[in-house]
Amino acid sequence: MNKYYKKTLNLLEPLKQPAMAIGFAFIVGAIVMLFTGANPIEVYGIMFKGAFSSQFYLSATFAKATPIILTGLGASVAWRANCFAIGGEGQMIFGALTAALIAIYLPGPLWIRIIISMIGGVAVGGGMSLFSAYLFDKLQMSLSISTLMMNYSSKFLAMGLVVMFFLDTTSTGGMLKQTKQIPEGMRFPRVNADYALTIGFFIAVIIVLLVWFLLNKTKYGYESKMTGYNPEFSRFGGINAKRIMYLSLFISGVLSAFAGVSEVYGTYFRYVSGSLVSGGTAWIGLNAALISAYNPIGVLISSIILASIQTGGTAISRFTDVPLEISQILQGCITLFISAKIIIKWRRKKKLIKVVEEGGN
Amino acid sequence: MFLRMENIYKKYGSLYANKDVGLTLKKGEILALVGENGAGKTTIMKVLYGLVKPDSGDIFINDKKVDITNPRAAIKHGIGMVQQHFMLFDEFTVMENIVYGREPRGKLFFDVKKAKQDVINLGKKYELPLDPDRGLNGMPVGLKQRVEILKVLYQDTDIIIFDEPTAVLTPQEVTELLKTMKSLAAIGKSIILITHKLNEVMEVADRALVMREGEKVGDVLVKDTSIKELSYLMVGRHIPNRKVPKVKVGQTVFETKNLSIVKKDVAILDDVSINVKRGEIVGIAGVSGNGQSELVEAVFGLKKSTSGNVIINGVDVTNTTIHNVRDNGVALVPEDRNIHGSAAMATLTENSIMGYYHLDGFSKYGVIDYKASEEFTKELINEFDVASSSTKQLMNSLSGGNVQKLILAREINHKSPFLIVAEPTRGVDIGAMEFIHKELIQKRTNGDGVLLISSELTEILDLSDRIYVIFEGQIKGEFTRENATKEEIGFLMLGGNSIE
Amino acid sequence: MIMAMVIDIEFIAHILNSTFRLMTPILFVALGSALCNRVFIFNIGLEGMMLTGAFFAIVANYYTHSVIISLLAAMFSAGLVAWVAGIFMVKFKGAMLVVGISVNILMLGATTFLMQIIFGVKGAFVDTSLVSIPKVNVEFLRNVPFFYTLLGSLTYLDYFAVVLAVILYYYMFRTVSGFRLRSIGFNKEAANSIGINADRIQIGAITFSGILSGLGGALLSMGAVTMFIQNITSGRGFMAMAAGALGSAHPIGVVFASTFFGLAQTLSNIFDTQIISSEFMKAIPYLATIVALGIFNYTKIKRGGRINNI
Repeated sequence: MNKYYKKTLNLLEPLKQPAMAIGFAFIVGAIVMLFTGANPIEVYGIMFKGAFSSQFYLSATFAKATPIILTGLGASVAWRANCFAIGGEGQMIFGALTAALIAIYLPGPLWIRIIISMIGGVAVGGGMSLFSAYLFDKLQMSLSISTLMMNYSSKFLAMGLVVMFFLDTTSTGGMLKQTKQIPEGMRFPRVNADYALTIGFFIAVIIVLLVWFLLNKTKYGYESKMTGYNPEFSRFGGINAKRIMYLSLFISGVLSAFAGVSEVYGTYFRYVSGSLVSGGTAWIGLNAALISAYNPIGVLISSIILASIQTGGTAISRFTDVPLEISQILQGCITLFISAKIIIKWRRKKKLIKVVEEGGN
Repeated sequence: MFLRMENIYKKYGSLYANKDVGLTLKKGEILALVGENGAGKTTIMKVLYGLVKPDSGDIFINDKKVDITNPRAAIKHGIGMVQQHFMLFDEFTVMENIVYGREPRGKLFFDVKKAKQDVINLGKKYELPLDPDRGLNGMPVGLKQRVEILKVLYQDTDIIIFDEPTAVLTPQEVTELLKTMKSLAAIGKSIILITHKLNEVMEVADRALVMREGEKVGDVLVKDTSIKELSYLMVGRHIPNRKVPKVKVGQTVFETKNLSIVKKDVAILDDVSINVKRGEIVGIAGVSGNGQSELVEAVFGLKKSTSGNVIINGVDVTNTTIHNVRDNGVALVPEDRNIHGSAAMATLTENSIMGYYHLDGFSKYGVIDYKASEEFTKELINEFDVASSSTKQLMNSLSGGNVQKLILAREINHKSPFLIVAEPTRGVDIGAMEFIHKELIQKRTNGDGVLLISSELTEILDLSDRIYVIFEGQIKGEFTRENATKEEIGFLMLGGNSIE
Repeated sequence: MIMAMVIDIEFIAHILNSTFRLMTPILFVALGSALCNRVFIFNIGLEGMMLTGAFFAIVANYYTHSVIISLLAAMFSAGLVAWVAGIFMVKFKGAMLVVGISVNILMLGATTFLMQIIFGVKGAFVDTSLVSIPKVNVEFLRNVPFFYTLLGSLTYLDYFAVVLAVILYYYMFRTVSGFRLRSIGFNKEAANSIGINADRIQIGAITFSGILSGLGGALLSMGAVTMFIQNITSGRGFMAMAAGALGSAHPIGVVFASTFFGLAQTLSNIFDTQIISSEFMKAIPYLATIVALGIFNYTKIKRGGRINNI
């Protein structure tokens, strides 16, 4: 009995930190709600219902989770190898734009266009990420700075390209800065015609499994993990740190870019300027990576939780006086508490609050 | 008596770093504090400088009890420390470094003019001239040390602690420094010199305090003693344990020829030519910091040698990659097991397959066979008696001794003909130590070569068939098991000269 | 059309004026970013802190109708957020990037949330009772059209931004406290060895960067317009980080970098989409930052220098 109890506890160990952070965040959220005069239990109930209670809500949550999962995987692959890049947003934008343009303008049979458009999209994202790796390698430019700058330049460059060359003037008379639609035959099929959910979500789940395999079973996965844990030990063990950095950042860029591609194929069916940025998808993806300590399965779960906070937030704002933004407050609090590595240890009923001094970059 | 420390106790775990240590210092006196690595010299000085809080004991200055809890308090009581690793800002000028923490101010601003004048005056007063406007970037080490000394003097200190000040200096710079110390003492400053180098003690100190295993074992006037006596006091008497079976010595498996690393005109490794044959444990005796780490790094291509060769099994591997060196048959137990030898947050399995994971049987088509890896780890754990509950537990849940056993197990299992082990028993318990020694002897009895680098002289003498003594990057002597004596080796590794 | 305007001296004055007005909010925050860089802190949370300032300036404005109190509220609220972020970064050893990102998401949510709770509106809040930061009167220049346009509709806070840069320059490079501040970024250990509390200086710098961000935010919500819009900063905090890096964390360099950003924004507002899309103009500052940092690092590496990477 005791042995099983212990074993379960060990299995749950990695969940302790995120569970506590989420718990803290929900307590903060409850306090905020009390100030607004709402009943937190009631509000959280509505939130839960709004995210999971019906097929309709569930499919909305899963659809919302799809790009979060993919950018979350992208961030995990890089951060796990000590590459603190935050270029997910820019890679998503150019991945989406490239894929959309190829899908729209390339002649030929649809299936070839699909393949080329997807490969093109992720290649551009991977290339952008490689460029930041190069800047770090040759010019010692901090990854966070270079990727941050690339995010903003991508946002405007993509917008400029659309406005100048690819603007769709037919639908809204050019009011929205968007391209034409991709052909109907190319779009991700919906699971049920009435719901938002497409096969994009299931592709993302398959990619989760692939990345899980890559990180946990392959030589590359071992090397990147050990480099992240202890670069000096890896060096003495003969691991080529530079190769790992380039490879990790490339894979990271590819995954983030695919998040953009999947939004084009499954949600917008075209490239819409600003659509990928406004929800902060890439940042939420990074949050998912942090909450799950870069574990792909964890990214899947935490992405769904974060997406449900968003869809649940929509329900809250519809049915109560509590504004939608409670979801952002919750998300911000979760990562803030995750960052601090405040761990509460239970030892023989004694509660010990201890700040673990590690991490930071 | 100007400074008095009494009954200082400091315990780390079950080990005494300082046990009932007392110390006195007169005005204008140069006191040398000598002892092997881990003898407790640094601890007692950290207590004095407020970096370590003792478990018990008192400090008196001018017969008044003082309370020193941090460096600031130490400075206030006139105690300064010239650290071994300079605490300087390369980006700042000489003046800025010297006045740091006690800058002269005008009404509103940093009074740069006064600060420069202060620095010039200070340099004149102590005959240590320096250009206040010079930047520190690219400055020779000797001058940087001068900045560090002036920085301490600027704080109006009466007691100056020098922590291994000559370790990084060229011979000329050493001469300069010793002269400076003498002249500082002559004008009434008291100096405590922490060192391993007994020739310097003889040259500059008035009195020497010898420590061994946390205790004070001698307090002698330098004019009444000799290097020989001091080195005996430091290392103690020793009867080597010579119950090692005789093995036939085979071919040379490892050789360095005139290996040197010269950095900014200082030879960190100076013309090192050593060799190890099959069936031999060859020890490198020396106080740590005399080029041992650089030797290992040069062999593995982690630090480029400036001249000379490294030859493994007849293959020249000088300045190649670590992969290449390992593939040619070298395994390594590195000096710092936590930094270079293992990853604390990884599992035992992940730690065990480092260096193996790319080989057949561990991975195929880029996929690691974790089942086989676990089996392998279990074997290592069983063979080397590593106290653990599962191969999936994290490395940081093991004790130091068990971490070291697992690392040794991993490296020995390479079945490479040559193994380098650096400080294999540092900080491990007696049981683990004996086990590790037994395994090293076994490896040699199997007909492989072992290079043992250790600052524990006892360990070297117990295990080695042949011993080289290293001092300041140079090989100072070679002994066989039969003709090695602790006295003579201790004498050489502490800077004594064999010609005397 | 454009050709005719380019040679118009009035037009140049107009561009300079607009550049200046768009530059100052960035400058405040960029100076804060420079302070953080000097103590080896990568404060990506400036965006959220700026937003905090912009919002609470309007809240205080609504209840007190006092410019001074509004500015104080902006500085206090953003400073408080920064202080908490500083505690998380320095004391709890939280990864700086993660803390900063959390602050951004949290404050974006919190300000929008509170806007609905306090004012009961979504998207934007305007009210006729709100006061704005007073503008410097340039009536006496009415006869000199160039200067009249150049210096028109500038608030006292705009001028103060530049004055502050000069003050910070003197603080950093002429005072003892500034000297110690700079030392932390170079070698924290050496500072501690002489008994200087490096942690406290770091948290202080982060807090002060928050206070400055608050002022920058207030300038957004009470300067050219007097209103609060959801996410009113829309990336200006990040832009300020870029300016801080581009100006190599030197107050005067930061002024030039911010001006460059202001000019790019002005030009993107003016240029017609038919010649070159205004969006491209907006991308230029960020691309320029990468190029400038690249050149800066390249020359430094060539000279054998060390790059202080955060």
